[in-house]
Amino acid sequence: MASPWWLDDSFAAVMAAVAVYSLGRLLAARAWSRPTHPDVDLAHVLMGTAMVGMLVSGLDPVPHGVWEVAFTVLALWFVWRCYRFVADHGVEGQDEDHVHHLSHYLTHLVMACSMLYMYLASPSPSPRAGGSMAMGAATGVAADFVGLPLLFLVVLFASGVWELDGIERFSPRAVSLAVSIVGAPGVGPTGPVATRSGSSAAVPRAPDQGGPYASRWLAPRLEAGCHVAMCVTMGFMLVLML
Amino acid sequence: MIRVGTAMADSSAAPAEPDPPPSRTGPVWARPDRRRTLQLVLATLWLLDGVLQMQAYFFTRAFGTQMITMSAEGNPSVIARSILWSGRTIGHHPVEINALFAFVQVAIGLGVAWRRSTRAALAVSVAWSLGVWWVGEGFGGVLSGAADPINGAPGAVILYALVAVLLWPVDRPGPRPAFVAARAVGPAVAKALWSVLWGSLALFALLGANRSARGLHDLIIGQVDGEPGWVVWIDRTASDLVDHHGLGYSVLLAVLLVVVAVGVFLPPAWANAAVLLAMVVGSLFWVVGQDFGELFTNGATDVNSGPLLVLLAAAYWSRPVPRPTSTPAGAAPTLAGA
Repeated sequence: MASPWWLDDSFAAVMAAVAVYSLGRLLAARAWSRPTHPDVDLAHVLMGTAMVGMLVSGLDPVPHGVWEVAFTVLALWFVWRCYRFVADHGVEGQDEDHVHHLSHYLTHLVMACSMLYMYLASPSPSPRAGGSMAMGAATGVAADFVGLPLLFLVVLFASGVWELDGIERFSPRAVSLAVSIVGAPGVGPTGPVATRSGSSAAVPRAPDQGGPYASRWLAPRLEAGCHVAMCVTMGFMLVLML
Repeated sequence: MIRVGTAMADSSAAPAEPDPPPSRTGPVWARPDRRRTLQLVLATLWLLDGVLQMQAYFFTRAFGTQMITMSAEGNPSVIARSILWSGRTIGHHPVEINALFAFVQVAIGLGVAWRRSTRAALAVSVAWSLGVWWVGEGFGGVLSGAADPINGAPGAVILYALVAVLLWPVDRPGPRPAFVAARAVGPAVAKALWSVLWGSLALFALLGANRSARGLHDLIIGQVDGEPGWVVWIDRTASDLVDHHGLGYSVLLAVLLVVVAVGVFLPPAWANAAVLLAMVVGSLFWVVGQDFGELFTNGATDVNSGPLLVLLAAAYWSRPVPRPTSTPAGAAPTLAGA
């Protein structure tokens, strides 16, 4: 039993758009010297391309086995990023961009692991008539580990939902307000700073809006939108493997 | 909104949560408070439901002609006829109608998550839930006498509507209540809704086959088809435990559910104990009676009632209320919640 071809193709089209956009984003950030996370953008390019190949088997651009290696490396990279983040900023700290937290890297670690799981647990992809989705339910030993994709699924959807909730913090008005608050006396980039008497300044906190740095961040709302689209699509594919 | 310094004066009020900084043109983004966090959990569940609806089985005729029509069994004829009509209609156009179902649920999830559309999405979710409760779940077996709280009665989807109402993003005037569920409807209504829900679950636990010696055993073991080995093991262990003692366990369960139902009227510490018990019971239902919503069988349209009961209980968790302290005259105003 297979899902309708147009559903797979629609998700594939969205993923192709995300991959192309992320590639363009990498180039644009370099050309215009705008801050971004190149590793995250690269991950979006790889995952988007791979998912297009999974959803429409005829469009997989690389031979079988290459993606497994790529996503293993990517997962290890994000493990390293998480470790560096905790070492530098602590578990509850913020990145240098004053926007992202540890969850940013953890989520991408889960995404890389999800991709790896989908490749390792699904039966070998075989082209079907009409080029429809090459994925299927987990088989063999993997079928007893369905708790793992469910965990991935919950993390991905929660991440997508939280990202969408926070998308308004990047609106021009929110960012300009954050810039003005950060400019006020006694206020640091992420909130009130301690005064000499030990109490914090009674000025409203600029909540995670990143201040001037976020105003230079390259198209943050589009980046968030891509992340949401990727979480939903990956979730769809994981559901089919439960 | 800024509320000046009175939030702590009433002992029933909770400590204030920080508000977003004021703006000349309206509120700006702020970290999610407790209610917003619960709304986002609700959005996550809607999103999951929407994607579950995209599984291959639901694009087939069988979804309408078998799954939907099955919920007509035992219902009064006027209701059964409407369910059968819906099932046949879905069976005739399974792809188009199921795509609509999936789209609506994904849209509700994303709509609740996006702050500009939260209210509209919650309103749609209430209407959608009531419709699905009727057509898709046959009112959860409430009218047919087949309702059993362990396997999801009175229906997960009606709990979505209840949670949406309780998490509605408005606040009644006056001091902020100690628990989130009371912010929109007030403590008295929120507690009444809680008692009706959990009291009805207690009643369902003692209805029909649930009183028989093997009813509980048969219920648990009857749903192992298609489950992975470790879920089957859980079911077999649990069903062996309750075998031939169904009545005793049903009475015990009903007593626990009554304790939960009346617990919210007790002082905050005891009310929280009742809420914690509700979370444990909801989790137990989900694992043992509902097999994790049967998510692993490729035939689930939602996560079933367990996670919704836990989410609902979280909305009734009272924050510890600090002792009222006298505020010195001329003290700086505090930022209280919107």
